[in-house]
Amino acid sequence: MHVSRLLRAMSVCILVAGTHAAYAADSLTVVSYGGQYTASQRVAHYEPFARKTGIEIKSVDYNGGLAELVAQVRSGSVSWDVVDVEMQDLERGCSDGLFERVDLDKLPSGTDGKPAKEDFLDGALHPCGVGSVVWSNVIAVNDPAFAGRTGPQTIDDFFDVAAFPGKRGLPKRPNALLEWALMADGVEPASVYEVLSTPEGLDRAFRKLDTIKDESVFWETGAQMIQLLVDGEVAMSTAYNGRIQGAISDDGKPLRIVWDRQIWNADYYAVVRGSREKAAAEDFVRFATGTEALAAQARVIAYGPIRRSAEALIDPKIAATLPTASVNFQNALAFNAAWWTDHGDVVNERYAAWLAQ
Amino acid sequence: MLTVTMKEQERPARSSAQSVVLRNVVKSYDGMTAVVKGIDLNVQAGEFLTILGPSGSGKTSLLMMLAGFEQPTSGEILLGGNDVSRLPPYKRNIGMVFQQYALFPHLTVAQNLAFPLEMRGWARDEIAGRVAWAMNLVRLKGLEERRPAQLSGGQQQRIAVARALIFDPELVLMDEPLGALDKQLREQMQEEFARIHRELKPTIIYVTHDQGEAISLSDRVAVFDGGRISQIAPPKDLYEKPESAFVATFIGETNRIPVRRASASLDTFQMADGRLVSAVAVGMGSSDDRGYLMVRPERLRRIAGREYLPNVLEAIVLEATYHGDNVRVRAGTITGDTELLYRISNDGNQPVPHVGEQVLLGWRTEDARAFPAS
Amino acid sequence: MRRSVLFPPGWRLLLPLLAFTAAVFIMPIGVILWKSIHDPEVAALLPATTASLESWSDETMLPPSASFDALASDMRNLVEVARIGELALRLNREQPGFRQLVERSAAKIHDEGTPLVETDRRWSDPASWRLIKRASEPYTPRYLLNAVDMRVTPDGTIGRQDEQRQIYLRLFARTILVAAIVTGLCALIGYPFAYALSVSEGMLRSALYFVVMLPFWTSLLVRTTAWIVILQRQGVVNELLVSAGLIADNERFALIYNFFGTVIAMVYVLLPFFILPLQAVMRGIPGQYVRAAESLGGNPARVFRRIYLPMTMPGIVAGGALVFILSLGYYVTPALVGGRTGQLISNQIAFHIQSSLNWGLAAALGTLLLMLVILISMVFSRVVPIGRPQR
Repeated sequence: MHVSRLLRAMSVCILVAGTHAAYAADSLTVVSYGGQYTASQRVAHYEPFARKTGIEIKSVDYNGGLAELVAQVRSGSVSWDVVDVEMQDLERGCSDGLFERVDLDKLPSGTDGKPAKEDFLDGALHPCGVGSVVWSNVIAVNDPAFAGRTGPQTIDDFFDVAAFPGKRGLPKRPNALLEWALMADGVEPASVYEVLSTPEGLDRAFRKLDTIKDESVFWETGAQMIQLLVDGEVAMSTAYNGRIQGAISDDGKPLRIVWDRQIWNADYYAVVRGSREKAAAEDFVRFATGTEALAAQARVIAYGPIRRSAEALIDPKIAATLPTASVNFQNALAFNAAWWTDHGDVVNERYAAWLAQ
Repeated sequence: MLTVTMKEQERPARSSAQSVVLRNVVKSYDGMTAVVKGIDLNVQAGEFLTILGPSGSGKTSLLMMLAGFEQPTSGEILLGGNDVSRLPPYKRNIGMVFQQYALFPHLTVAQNLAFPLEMRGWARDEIAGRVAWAMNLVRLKGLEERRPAQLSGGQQQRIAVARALIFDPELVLMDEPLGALDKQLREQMQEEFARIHRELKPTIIYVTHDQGEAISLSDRVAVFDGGRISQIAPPKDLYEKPESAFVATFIGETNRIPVRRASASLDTFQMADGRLVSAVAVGMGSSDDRGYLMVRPERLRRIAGREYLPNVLEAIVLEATYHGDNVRVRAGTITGDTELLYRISNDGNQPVPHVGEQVLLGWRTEDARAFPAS
Repeated sequence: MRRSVLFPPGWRLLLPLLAFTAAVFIMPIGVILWKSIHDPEVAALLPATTASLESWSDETMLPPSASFDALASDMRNLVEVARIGELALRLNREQPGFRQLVERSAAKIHDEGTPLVETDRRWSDPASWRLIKRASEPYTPRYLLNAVDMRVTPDGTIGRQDEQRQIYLRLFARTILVAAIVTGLCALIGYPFAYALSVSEGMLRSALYFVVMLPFWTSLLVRTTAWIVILQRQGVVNELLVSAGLIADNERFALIYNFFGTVIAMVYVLLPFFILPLQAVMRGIPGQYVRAAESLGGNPARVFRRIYLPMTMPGIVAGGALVFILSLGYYVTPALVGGRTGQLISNQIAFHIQSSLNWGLAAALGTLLLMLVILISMVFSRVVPIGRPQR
């Protein structure tokens, strides 16, 4: 008797709490990677959106990955509304039903009047999310390590241990690295993923990696990567351009970015499936991926705006440091998230085995 | 009997009759105050010597120096004629029995007994024979494979004794070995010690604060007081002819009567109320010296009929306590400034006085001793 | 009233504790064990197909047409409820490429009404159907097999994993090796320290305690970073060696971002877990045992080996087991300073939970790790009888 009464009381409480949340339409929870990146979003997206609509943005940090999203969506207790995700997580999460579908026709046109579908870079519009920034996998060079000599200028140089001695920093995950290995081995950017899909192509990539394995130091996080470069532990490293640019322009570190065959990637805003504020969340995504919002963000962090129309709104000096600057973008390769989603399990295991040997 | 002969080189030389010699041994921990203030001591081979003293008298420090856990600040310790003052414990060939037995808990009884023999490099079969001998000695055959925790307190103590004796040491030190046992077991163990000492005649230095053990076990007792030996003598002499007020009061019960020496030549003393009494003077010099006259309760007698004793006091019974074999009576002198204790043997012939009864108590001159005040 | 031995009076007072234990310890472990062998996802997503494939006997031939219809209908339903992607991802884990195959075929079936067999030629291959049948079995050994570098081959037998993908046994072995080395070093360094701690008194003891506890007062991240500063190529140790002229500037030692660095940092982090229980045991050993042993003729070395060391064994075992078991599950330190050769099994478990979302495999790896811990604890308690009376 007592127990059933207690249960009834508890369920009433839960119901009340639930209804309360459902009608609180004055705030959105937006989840992103934290640090300088979220700071740029706050200035360029969150605050202007709040001023315009009166909806406060609650900012939450996470470390990427879909584990928490899966837990929220599968259990039905969704507390996040919008998530900033990488291309590969978007691809995967989209398949896994973690995101609401985006109505791409409702996206605003560019400031130059071009319709959204032409204004966004190829691949920036996804059924489950809208691209916001372009960031890039690049090679970063610690120039003092090559004092008096010319440091590496290309991907081929990065794999040329004889001509450019010194430790290489490599990631503990193979994303982008296998692509570079193939390109350094003579594969054209256009056919990289085709070759990687064959067993021989994969073997070829690993054989190329073997040539620099003994000269490499492996890092887990972006912060570690920067530390290795700054401390002089490595002469060069695979890197994320934003972090390197930050170290150069904010901290004055003597680092240099090699744009040759950069592998560009993008971050997307996606609405979490089951968000209680779906309409407001979609509003936010449309606002934050507008030309002006993207240009504003590019002014404070070295990630390229994903809309072509935004470049006109950015100081040319800043624009030149962005992955999307035409001089940097010449032989860029677009990261193929779909390929990685399909082959990730096998390739990751093989890379881990390669590391352990 | 010894069933296994010891290897010749292991058998300690017993050439000297004096097994242990201490010469002016001083110990100071801080360099300022000495806890042991110059001890001279000769222990005969095969002697059972007890060091008796209150806590803080320096007896434990002396034991630690004998065992080698402490080094004397000055003076020397000779063992079998050799100076061992600076030798570490494991080179001294001394067996030691601890108050808490100190049997190694992770080893069996047999392994505990074998330990000192292994340390001396005995062969395996020799060890087995000697362990059997030791188990026989302490009458615990059959418990070889037990662990110490599976033995009673008395059994553990006997194993500890066997372990200290098994390698035929030059000297056996016993540090309050019966302190952890109850009264009945203590008495049994005393008999056991006495028997073993009779059988093997080891040299034993036994440290205790229990005068009963000291008196019943020892050939001689050294009474320690403030870092010095106050008196060293066979138990009977110590009890009956103490040479200081300290020894007299420390060992056994005694009556203490404040007196002044009445004459430098005669053994006469004046009590507070002016009455003259006689006693053997020990260390009391000129007349007028203050001191105490001491007489054992069993030498204080109630005078019945026309019996003559040179010293007689009138007293009133304050209390009579029944003790089974005797009755202790507490009485006060008529003048009220001295209390006296005496015993009545419960042999059925002597009436027990009732409280308030007036009695006459007396002693022979040779049964009382007078010591200086301090 | 009769009293039960099993339920002593007042046992109900223990109910909250039992409930807490069950909820916090037993249940999560049970869930992990369960997840490593139980995977009903495909059967739940493809109910009609699963039922229809049960009657498919000759697996070298294509299944009956009823199965084609069943799969087409299941796929159509999944598209309706927007869950086709879950099936696609799940099957892709069995065979790379199946994600796109499933998503495209399903879209064609749903949007254009194309018959399944015409959407892709792979549906005419019995191997694809065998794969679906395998995956639809709710109880599966595949995660546990994967965790020991084995796999179910397409023809249904159990075989070794592709050589290039064999990784977990190697990592288990390395994890055990690291744990053993870390435990051994902790014992070598920690034993004298614990002894000093156990015999010291007053200010000295407080100071030593402070040194031991110091690592607990700073975050793991800070402590690990400190080791980077000390051990890296441009770090304190190498600078000292170079400035002392012992090595040349280009011969600096690689002391971190490898196996060695992992071991050093882990020893430092785990040392207190060895010292504290050991010094407690040491403090509980009265000095009379060592004195007795010395007086009986044992020189210091032999007294230590025969008496003191055995008597402190319970402390060594307690501290050693603690360090060993903690080492097995360590992943923050290896992630930060492990580089390539210092990666341990826990790093892979974390990867599969956080990044690849292969929770079945993570659960299987966790289960194996758990069994390893239990096995090692059993061996430990055999070798050193902790339970036996000591005094």
